[in-house]
Amino acid sequence: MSQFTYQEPQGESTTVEFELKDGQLRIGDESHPCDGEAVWLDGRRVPFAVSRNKDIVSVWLDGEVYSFITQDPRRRAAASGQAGTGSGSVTAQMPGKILSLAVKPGESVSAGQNLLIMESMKMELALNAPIDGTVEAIEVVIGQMVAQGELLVRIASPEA
Amino acid sequence: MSSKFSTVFIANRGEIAVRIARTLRAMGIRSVAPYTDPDAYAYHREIVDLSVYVPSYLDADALLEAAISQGAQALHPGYGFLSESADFARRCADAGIIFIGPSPEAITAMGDKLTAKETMRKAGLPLVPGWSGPTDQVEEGAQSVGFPLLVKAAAGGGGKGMRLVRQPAELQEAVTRAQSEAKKAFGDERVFLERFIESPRHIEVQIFGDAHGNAYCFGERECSLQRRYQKIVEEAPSAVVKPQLRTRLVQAGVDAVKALGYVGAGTVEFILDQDDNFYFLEVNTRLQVEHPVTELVYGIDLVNLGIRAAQGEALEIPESFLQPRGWSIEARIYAEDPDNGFLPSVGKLSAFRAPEGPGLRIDTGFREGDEVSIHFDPMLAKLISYGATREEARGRLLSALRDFAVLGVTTNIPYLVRILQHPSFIDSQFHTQFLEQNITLFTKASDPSKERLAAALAGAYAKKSQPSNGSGNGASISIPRAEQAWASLNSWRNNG
Repeated sequence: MSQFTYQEPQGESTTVEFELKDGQLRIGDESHPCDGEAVWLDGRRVPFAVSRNKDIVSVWLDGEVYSFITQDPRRRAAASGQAGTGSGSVTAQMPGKILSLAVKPGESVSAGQNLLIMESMKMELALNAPIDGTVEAIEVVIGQMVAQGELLVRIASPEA
Repeated sequence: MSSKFSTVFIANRGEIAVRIARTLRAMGIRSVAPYTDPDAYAYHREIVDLSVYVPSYLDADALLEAAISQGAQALHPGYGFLSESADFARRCADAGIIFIGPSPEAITAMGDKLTAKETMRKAGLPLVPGWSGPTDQVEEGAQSVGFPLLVKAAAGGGGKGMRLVRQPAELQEAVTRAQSEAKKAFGDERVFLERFIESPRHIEVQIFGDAHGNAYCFGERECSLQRRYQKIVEEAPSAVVKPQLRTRLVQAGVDAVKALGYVGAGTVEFILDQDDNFYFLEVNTRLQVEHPVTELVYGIDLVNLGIRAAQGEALEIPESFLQPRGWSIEARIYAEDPDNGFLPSVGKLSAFRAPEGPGLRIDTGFREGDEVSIHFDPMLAKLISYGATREEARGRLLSALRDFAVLGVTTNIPYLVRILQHPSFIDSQFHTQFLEQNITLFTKASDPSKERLAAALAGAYAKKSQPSNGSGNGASISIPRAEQAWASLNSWRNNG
């Protein structure tokens, strides 16, 4: 049996034991006929497709898409190392353009206060401060195009 | 006088450019379309006979120059972009290029909401009952409008200064409050009254006219399933429109064509109340996104008809083509995440496998491997089904949605599946606020056994797609194309 461990959105991890052998996909004590394009559930052919984008493996199965964040120990360590100081980091949830900035470096902000507006696919998104604190740095300028996950604003918490 | 076009310029992109190009090809007309930087590898460029670079799809000068330089006799605007710009239509005419659509005068008149309502009132179309006048006569005004009613700010918008009044006793208080709110928000305390339509449906009719005075109306489309005024699922005909009501709707559509001297395809939108009263909303002076459902149910090609009308042909449409036959439902597939506030999703379409089957039509501007970018509308495809009955069309669309493999971006396909399975959809019991009032009905339900199966497939794939340990190049894993993914999955049995 092989193991596949992935992270739930809430942070805990789940492990699935499986084996693919002789056209059968075994998961725990279940077994389903399976080839590269479909798996048979109770005699019904269910097509699937899989793709991978960096740490995320996505599976299209029976009309739904399931995404799994794979656990890579080194990356996980790097990510948790950031988390201590990064709780006040605001990153772009999706790629887009910075439309306006509502704060300046050094300004104190409270949680929920608007920091900036960005535009993506004709939609305007307001990004707000996740914590109370002081604006440590603004990493973008108005009109700048940003990529998904790019750091936009850093906020230092009062205790830090 | 009519003369056939040899080249038509499509001033658009994406699925609608592809759809128009296909009709042009079928008519033996050469198609030319623009493209911009983000569309350098766009699908529509592959479908048209020639594409010409322009800085933007809104750059009228560049579009006209491209059309002229390629010898186009006519220009099809599609929907969006400059399709409802009277100025652009006029500039086409000035440049000697026929604009495939109504006259600039008709576009201008329908582009202004108040002029549109006044024009349609004169043409005999019903408007939502309303009243405006001096405050001391508001009681009489309310009686003429009928209850329930809305008190609205004359300068208003965004719900400010708006009050719902269910009974006469609540009227004075509501007017006073609305006036005070309106004064604060807009510096103008004038208010007016309008009948409040309870649980309304959005019903629209497809109109069509030619330059010889022929006026047609192809019956209704049901477009009540919307979210933030964006239609999501449309169908033709509507289950709540009985033949008598259809006759009245079609007559209103024909009256609108005649009042505007309308040439080409257009849409008259109405709201329908629960007592079969309909009220004029607006006219869209262009092809609608959801036009395919009408095409399937009436057996027509609206782009073909529009081009022939623009060529100056007199179009005699036989009576048998003006009767709906069977049922058609369209689902709009968007790159967005319904379980995360409908945030748009971008990325590379690592899988994009459109389903096939009887009674299916797919209009899309994407192929597998294409990038879904932030630059344009996130609509990936329109999946349209046809069946002899509504239930047959529903079943075909539902199974096609389940068979549509899309990976690389998050889509609303599971959300559409849940809508199509819902008893209220099956019984056609819905209204324009239905989706927003029942958001939780359509959120993702977890299925642990499916998730475990998916995780096992993900695990098997992740194992196969790891870079081999001895390679030592340390390169990050690239996004595999679906073909490669499937090929590697197919090798499982050999080296299991």
